[in-house]
Amino acid sequence: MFLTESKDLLNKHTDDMWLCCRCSLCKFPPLAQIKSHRFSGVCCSMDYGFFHAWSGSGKIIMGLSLLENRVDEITETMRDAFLQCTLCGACDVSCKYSTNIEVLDTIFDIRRYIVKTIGAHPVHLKYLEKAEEYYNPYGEPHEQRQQWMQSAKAFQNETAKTVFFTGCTAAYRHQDIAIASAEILNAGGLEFRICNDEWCCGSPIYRSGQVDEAVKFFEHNIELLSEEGIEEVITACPGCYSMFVAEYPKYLKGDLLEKWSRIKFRHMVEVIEEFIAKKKIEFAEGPNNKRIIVTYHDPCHLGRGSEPWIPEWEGTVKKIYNQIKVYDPPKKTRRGTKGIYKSPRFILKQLKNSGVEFVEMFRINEYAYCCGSGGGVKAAYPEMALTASIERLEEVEAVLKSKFEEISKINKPVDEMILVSACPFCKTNFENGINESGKNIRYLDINQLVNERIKREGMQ
Amino acid sequence: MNKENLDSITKTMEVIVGKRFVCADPGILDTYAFNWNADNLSGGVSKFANRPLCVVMPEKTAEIVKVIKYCNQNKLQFKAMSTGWGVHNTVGSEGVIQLDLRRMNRILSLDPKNRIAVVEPYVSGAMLQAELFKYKLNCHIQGCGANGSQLATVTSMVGQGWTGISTGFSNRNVLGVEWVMPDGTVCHLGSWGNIAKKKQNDPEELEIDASEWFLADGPGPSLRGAYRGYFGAFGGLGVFTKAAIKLYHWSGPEQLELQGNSPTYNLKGSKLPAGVATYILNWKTWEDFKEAGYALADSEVCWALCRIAPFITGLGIFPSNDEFYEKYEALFGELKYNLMVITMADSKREFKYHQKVIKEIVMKTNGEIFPMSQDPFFSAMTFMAMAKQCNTMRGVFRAGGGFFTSLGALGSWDWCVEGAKIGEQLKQKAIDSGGLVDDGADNVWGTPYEEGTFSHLEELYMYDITDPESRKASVEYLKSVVEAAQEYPLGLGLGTVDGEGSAMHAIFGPLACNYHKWLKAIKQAFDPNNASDPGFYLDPEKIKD
Repeated sequence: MFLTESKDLLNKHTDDMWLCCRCSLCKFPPLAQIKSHRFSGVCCSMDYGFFHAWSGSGKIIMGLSLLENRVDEITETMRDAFLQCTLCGACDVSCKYSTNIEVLDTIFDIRRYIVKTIGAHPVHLKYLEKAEEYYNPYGEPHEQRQQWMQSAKAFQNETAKTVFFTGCTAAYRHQDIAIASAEILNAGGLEFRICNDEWCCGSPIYRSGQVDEAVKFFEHNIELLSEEGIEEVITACPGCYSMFVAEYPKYLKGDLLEKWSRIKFRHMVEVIEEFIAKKKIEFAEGPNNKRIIVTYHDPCHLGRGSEPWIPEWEGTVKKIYNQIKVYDPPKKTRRGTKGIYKSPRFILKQLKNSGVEFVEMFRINEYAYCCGSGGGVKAAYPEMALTASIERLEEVEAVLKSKFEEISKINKPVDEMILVSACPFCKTNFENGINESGKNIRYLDINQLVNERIKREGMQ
Repeated sequence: MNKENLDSITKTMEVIVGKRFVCADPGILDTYAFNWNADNLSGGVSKFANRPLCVVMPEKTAEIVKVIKYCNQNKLQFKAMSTGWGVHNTVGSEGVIQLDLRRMNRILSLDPKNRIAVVEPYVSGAMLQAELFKYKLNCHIQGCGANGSQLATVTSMVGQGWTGISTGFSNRNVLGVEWVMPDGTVCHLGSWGNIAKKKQNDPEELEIDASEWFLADGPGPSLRGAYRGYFGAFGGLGVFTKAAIKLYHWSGPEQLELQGNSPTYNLKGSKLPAGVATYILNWKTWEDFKEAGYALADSEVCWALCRIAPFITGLGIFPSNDEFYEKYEALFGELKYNLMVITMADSKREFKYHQKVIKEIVMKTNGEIFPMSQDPFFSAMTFMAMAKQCNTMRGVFRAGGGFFTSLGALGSWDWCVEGAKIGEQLKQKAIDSGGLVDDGADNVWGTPYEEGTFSHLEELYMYDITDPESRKASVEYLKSVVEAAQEYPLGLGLGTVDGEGSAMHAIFGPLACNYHKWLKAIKQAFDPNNASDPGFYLDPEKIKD
């Protein structure tokens, strides 16, 4: 049985569905950027599910199949094809090099339709239940959310207008990231505070397709920040960051939208970049003077997903040359290219004198490969998350080893090979992947890497 | 088919390839029924063609052999697809097993010295090229883009590419194949027929010693004419599991370094690699264009020489339709009968020679070097797009989402130009009715191959696929193309290819030496049980003797 009222979610993408021509560009980085046969895929969903249905195109086609009532029911296999997707947006970037199709928006709305029709995945329902009770999807006590601050060699100023928004994963699973962030903020002289009644940003609920249920989390957080007189929010979590800059404004209305618009949101890498540029922090040798090679993984929600929200276009559509649609005023398109890509690279290059050699992977920036943990995949389909993580680690290993050999030919070999990223969720999944694959790589969050190399008074 | 029978078939398939790689879920199968140009076949009402019985995803040849033998024993049909773009990849009727060859994606051998690569079906042009550049080599990539299968273009399709003047075209580049024939027999053709050995650790697979390649299409037997012929069998004559592909010299760098973000990638610093020059050459008449085409092809200085009409050039260059609308007329309005030319040299002396030759031909044929083409930004982007075949999609699909080819000719260059003139007139009528994109009517693309001994030009067209009226106009236009292809002695119109094979062959066979009877004989000889889906190839039962 299909719920007819939810079909609006499909109907609004009818043109997107017809525009798909099944060229498969959504499975690869933009063709101009394919640099290797081995690392020529860009869709971790497709690489796991194999059948076309798992690709961006395949999901859109299934959406059209549902819209046209070509199938009698949404089967478990179909549901899996939709939900075994991290919503990383790589398909959207590759497709939009050549077309006007809103791939990611379409896929997301079909996911919402699926959830409205047959219900959320049982694991995702648990997320919601826990979040509603504890304000975090892990079901951890709310009062312990900001306990990590006690372990930080950092202080907060409770009257500060800047808040460090911890996020659930850094608060309960990777406190080392939260601690490093707080210590960096102190080192750079930026006064901040934390909010004890911070709730989950809503990302895990929202991205699992339970949008209506997620909105109350958006509303709470904006109301809270507004009541506390907060002017700036800093976070180390790309999931939270992309929710703030790209998703909240789609659903907040009236007064709340106005309150949202008065807050400036920044990810830690932007703050660190500013600290370096303004010489508020400098770097020393790393622990034990170790020389390391690092490569950087672009978290999807910090890169593609953090491109700021664009208000819904309003204007006139007209046809030119008989049958080509153009928009008056011209329509702005989110292409995933205006997210945060430069800041982390700037930081890593600045660490060169601190013994850090930086090398790029093949799939980077807007065509980076996903770590495999987002969109509810890590919880509901851990095997897929692990598969994606190991696929990315293969690339990490390839470029780090190559750089290692290059350096070893002319210099003393470096001490360690490290994968750096800037996302607590990526950290979990990559560490799982490293354990599973036994690769000789260490994962380090960029905040931790920076924090351990900041030159501080009294340092030798 | 009842559920019991379907379950029995899928269980057998699961034993062959593994449970994870078989699917009979209708929703998943629909993603194999949907494809480009299905709307034209459905009269403009649907993008879905036939839904397969199930999809099976083999990993190696031995598994395909088992599937095919099972089909022959049980009166079932099968149809293979590699990268799967275009409605000809769909099954010709419901009840056919679809083989999705995505898991067969290895480059098995790369022999720079002898310029041969052996690839599996899911290796695309972009994937192979990325490895070849490192060896100063390149491959022919079909005009549809680098996302297409290298194996499919050489074994099963008619595939022309932008660099055809220096890299030949589809059926000229196949040097050997591993072919699972429609009855399940594995056949090795080309030199491979002599040198392939069974792997010690996996007797079901063959090992290739690339160093033993010494002659492309022999001394082992060649059946190129039978298994693919002119147009290819569109998956209707067994499954090709490996192909040896001819490679070509590449004078460019190991990697083209790019700048910018999607959709505005360009070469770093908008700088062409050393030895490269790009030109758009422009003529005022078809006659001058024709003479220039011959002269340029014969000069042997072109790495790329092709006609990409002004309208599509503009769409490919500008990153959005809005920007195209704003700038196209001002920048490209003067362009008429044009050719895109790229030269690549290995020395300064050769570079200068190339320039001199191009200028002399342009002068002698009353042409001009279109000024815009010498702008560094434009020139660099042109080279990137041509070398990596990465802008085709936006050149043709972004305008209205609906795109296809229509009247075309394959043969001598002047014959092709005559076809272009007819195509232009025919399309103008459809444009005047308002249903198609007004691309100026002349929107032929094509190229001479191999010093101009063979050529092709085809009339492209676009429409708004989201608009039912525009879709209807496309269907009507294609009908007129089929009629025109019979009226004018141009051979099989390209726009008629991607349809129900038997019906088209029945129309055009009698006009072209009854070739359809030969196709029928081939199909019957190699596929006595008609197990290999004949839908887009030829069904013997539908062809009268």
